[in-house]
Amino acid sequence: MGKRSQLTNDGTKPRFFVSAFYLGFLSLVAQTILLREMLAVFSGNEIVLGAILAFWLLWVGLGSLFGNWFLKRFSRSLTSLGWSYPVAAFSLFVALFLVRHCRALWGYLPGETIPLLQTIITATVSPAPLCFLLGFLFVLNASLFSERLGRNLTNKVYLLEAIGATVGGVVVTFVLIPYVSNINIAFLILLTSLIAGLYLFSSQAKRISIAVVSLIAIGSLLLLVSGFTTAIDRFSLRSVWRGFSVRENIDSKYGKIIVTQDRDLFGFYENSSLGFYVPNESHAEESIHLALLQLWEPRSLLLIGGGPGDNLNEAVKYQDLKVDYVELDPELVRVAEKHLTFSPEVKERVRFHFLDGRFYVKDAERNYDAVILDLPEPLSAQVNRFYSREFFEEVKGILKPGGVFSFKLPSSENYISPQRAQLLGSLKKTMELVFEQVLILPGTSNIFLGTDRSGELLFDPDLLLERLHATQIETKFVNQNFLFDRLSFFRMKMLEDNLAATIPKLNTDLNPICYYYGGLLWASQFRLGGGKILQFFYELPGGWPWFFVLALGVMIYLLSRIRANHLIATSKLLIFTVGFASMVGEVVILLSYQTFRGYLYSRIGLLLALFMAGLALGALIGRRYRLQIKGLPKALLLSQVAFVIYILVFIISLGIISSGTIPSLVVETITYIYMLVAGLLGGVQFVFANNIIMRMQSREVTRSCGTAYGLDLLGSGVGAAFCSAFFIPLLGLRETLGLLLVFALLCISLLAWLVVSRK
Amino acid sequence: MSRIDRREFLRYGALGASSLALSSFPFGGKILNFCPRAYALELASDLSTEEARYYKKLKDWVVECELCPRSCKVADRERGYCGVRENREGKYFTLVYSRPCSLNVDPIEKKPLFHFLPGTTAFSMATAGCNVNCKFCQNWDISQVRPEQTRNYFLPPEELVDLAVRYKAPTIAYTYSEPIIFYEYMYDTAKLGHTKGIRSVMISGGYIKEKPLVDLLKHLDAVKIDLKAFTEKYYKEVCHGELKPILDCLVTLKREGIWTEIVYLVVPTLNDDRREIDDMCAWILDNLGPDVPVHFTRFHPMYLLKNLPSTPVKTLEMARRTALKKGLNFVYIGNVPGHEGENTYCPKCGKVLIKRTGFSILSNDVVSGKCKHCGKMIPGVWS
Repeated sequence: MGKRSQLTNDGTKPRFFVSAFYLGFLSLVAQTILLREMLAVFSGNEIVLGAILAFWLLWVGLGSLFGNWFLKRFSRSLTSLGWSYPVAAFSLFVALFLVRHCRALWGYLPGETIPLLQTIITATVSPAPLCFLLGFLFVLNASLFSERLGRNLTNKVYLLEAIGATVGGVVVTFVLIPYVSNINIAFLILLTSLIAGLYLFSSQAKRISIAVVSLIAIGSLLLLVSGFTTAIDRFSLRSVWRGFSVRENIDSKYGKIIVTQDRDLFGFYENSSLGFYVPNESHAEESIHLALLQLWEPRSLLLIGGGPGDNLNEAVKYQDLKVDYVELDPELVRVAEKHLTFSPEVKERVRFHFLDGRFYVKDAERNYDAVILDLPEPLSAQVNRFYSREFFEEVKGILKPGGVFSFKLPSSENYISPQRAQLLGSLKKTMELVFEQVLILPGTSNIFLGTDRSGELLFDPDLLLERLHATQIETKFVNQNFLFDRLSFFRMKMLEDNLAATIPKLNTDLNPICYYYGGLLWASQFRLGGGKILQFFYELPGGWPWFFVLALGVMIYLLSRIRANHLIATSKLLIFTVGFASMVGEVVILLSYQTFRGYLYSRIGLLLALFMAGLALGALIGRRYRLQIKGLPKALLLSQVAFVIYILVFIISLGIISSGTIPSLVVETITYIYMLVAGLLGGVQFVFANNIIMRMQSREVTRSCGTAYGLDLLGSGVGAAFCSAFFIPLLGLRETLGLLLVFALLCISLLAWLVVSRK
Repeated sequence: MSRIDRREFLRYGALGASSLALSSFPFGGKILNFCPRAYALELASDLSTEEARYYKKLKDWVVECELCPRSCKVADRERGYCGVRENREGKYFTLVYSRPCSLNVDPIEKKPLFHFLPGTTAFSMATAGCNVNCKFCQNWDISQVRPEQTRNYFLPPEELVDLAVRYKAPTIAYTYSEPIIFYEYMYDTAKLGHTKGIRSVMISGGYIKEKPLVDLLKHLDAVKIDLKAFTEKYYKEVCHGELKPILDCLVTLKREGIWTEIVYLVVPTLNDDRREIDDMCAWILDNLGPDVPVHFTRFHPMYLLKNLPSTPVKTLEMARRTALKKGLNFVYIGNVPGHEGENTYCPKCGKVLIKRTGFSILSNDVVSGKCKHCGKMIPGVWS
């Protein structure tokens, strides 16, 4: 029997499978729960999300590059591999702790917004040990098992890791998240990592190590089963919400709901952001009456968002008014019903619909006198889709002739800053494209009104007061003084002047500029907030992302020429570009999904799993073609051509999807397919490019696998950061894909040149 | 005393709008036809170079600001904490003199000043900048920025006073941001205003040194102080300020005999403890007497505290009960229109003297500064 079969028989092979698979599983579960925790603590803006993703990938990339260096100098064993998993699981706890308690650690108050800079620092530092270890573990797996099994297993580790991640994505989305808290999921991960560790070094480690790990595993199991971990979760929650009386803590399908009570006031938080609170008559009176007083005897109202609080009580003050209230999360209404009392009129005249507001509007009939949108500012792509031209058109389609659409945004009644003017101006411009008359009422919140008839909307306080008296509705806040103060000439004029001084862009589904404007406004709150960086990029000449990508392409070309071996250099750089391109593709798909389907939070695990499944499939396909070194550049070229075709089809289909003619189920299916194919193409290209490196550097397994993986992730990190923070908001979804197309064509020309020159 | 009624307001609005339509300047242009009767306001093209009045020169072109207790030591080409005062070669300048960025006509009740010419309007103005950084600031986009980041008008004291006259506002209110940081502009305007029958009120956090305060008070008619909390911890953590200088400022105001009202913004979980409110009321009683009006106002989610819900009305009622029990005579609840705590009650006969809802005066039974029912003198500025 040869050496290789001896090694196979000693259990190395199954250990290899378990180890590489578990690495992917651990990585995706950890990423998902940490992302959920971060979204629940930081403002859920895609700029922040992009930064989180980018730093995650960069750390993993750096970890694998470090693995390269480290493992060339030091020995590796199954024992060290076995210990690494529990250490990684432990560092997940550290990351969760840092994220959850970062407010207190930074010295911020409960309820206080964490500035962009501190958010990014936390997002960078907290997952660093975990990610670094994950990257290191990839190299350790590849080098250890390659050495033991006598062949280069980098691609196989890549494949198994992707399969593990796919399974992890499905398990965390459908099995864990709906039933288990993040802390308990982390304990489960610790437990499984201890078991995996035990299995890995059971044949080699000293008894004392096995005993220690077994004891920790039993201890963790006992803590989990006894409910101690749940108690820790509660304790940690109490310390995060110090000063508040937390009445509810629910992990719903769409986010984390917290209900607080302060005397008779209930605050309803969604992902740590205050959604609404009750009683809040001033907000409700403003939202409802300033819109409905525009109409004589409104009969039907569609209310989107705002929470099942005072808005409903205020609306039913209008005699015979029927209200359709749309709320995405049924849990929110269930929990509100538990703590609040709805009037008999609300029970009688309000119909609740639990679905996405945009879907409701798309399928609703044309029979509303008024539509009131009561959502937060468009600070994220998820909310921005309710402020796009397409949505305004859909709303116009369900309003009766002369009907009124209204929404309000927080503002300042005494001054409109340039950042706020940009946001308000963009929304006004977008509204004016759709509605015949648009009016903005100034104040501590700006109320936008739109209708399809000109000259119908009122801003004369006398006339509004007359209507208010005619309705015989009793109000506390909206009264004579309120109207005259709010609609004073000075305030109307100041708003008009400040908006006129800006030249904002239109906000559409495919060009969601308002969430960038929102980001600028948000960042302007902080003295060291990163707002200046965002503003700098915004003020650069319009085509800078194109120059950026072209410069990246040229740089890659030049770098490929510097090294003596052009083939290796080109392959390495191509791995970087594959990472970059597939991540830009992934982010575009995620944000398109956000725009057209609207509930990314509940599907993030599944979408990531599909991407990983695509990677696994791609790696599998790549492995099937055991090409010789000569054929690899050509294969890489063909796969790059396939990527170009993929982008072209994506661009065309985005246009069709945005027209709203395709059923939503089809859109969802298409998104899943795109995610799978994006991963697949990335996986195939990684394997081809890595094969070139492996064949050329066959004696140095560690070096090749760590470099390839590291470069792939560094490319992904750069792609994630630039795509979500700048490309999409500044260029839009389609132009970003166009950018990717140009980038892919640059890579094709590089490859074509390589193929031709090698001939 | 003159009042502006709503008809007049609308007429001004219409006049302003027509003057705008007739104007050859586009909205974003150099000149804004901002005011009625074709009264044009010029946008400032630069920052001011008026020399500051309270500072001392140190070595090496360093200056020490003597306006607020921060006592910023400012090197050449640097600015103080407020961001509106700059050292240029050892000389200290205010950059916002005649450079307001916000102008409005507000009811005086909105400041809030409840015992100062009730039912009248105040021509309200502010420049950029502030000497503290409160996490709940509702005017953060003025107060937390530098003057070059705001759109400023060029409005010298004469024109500002003239504008108040045109708008028939008996008072100019220096408000929104922190007036102390545009001290020289406020001082000159208030002084000039008195010569034209226009009064001046300062709506401030009170973070100022004694000397400039005493000098300024000669030209002011009333002051409202935001006493933000009664602990140093809160001032440090939430406002980046100090409590002690504010208390000193209040004592100085009392000593100088200027009409003063206090606002205490009750922020849930941060300064709503009954004992803290009790301690504060005891201090007010001992140091300022029972007749200083104290307003407990309702917090709304703002600026960096957008994730804190509003103050429950019951908390405000608790605060008011505590203050009344302590012996303060005029205790109000703010930002809760229609609440009985908005009314002024006679401390002797207990009858309603001024009935309010929001910023509206529904009835006023203070006649010649006395209760119409029992003749008790009611402290304040009534005519």
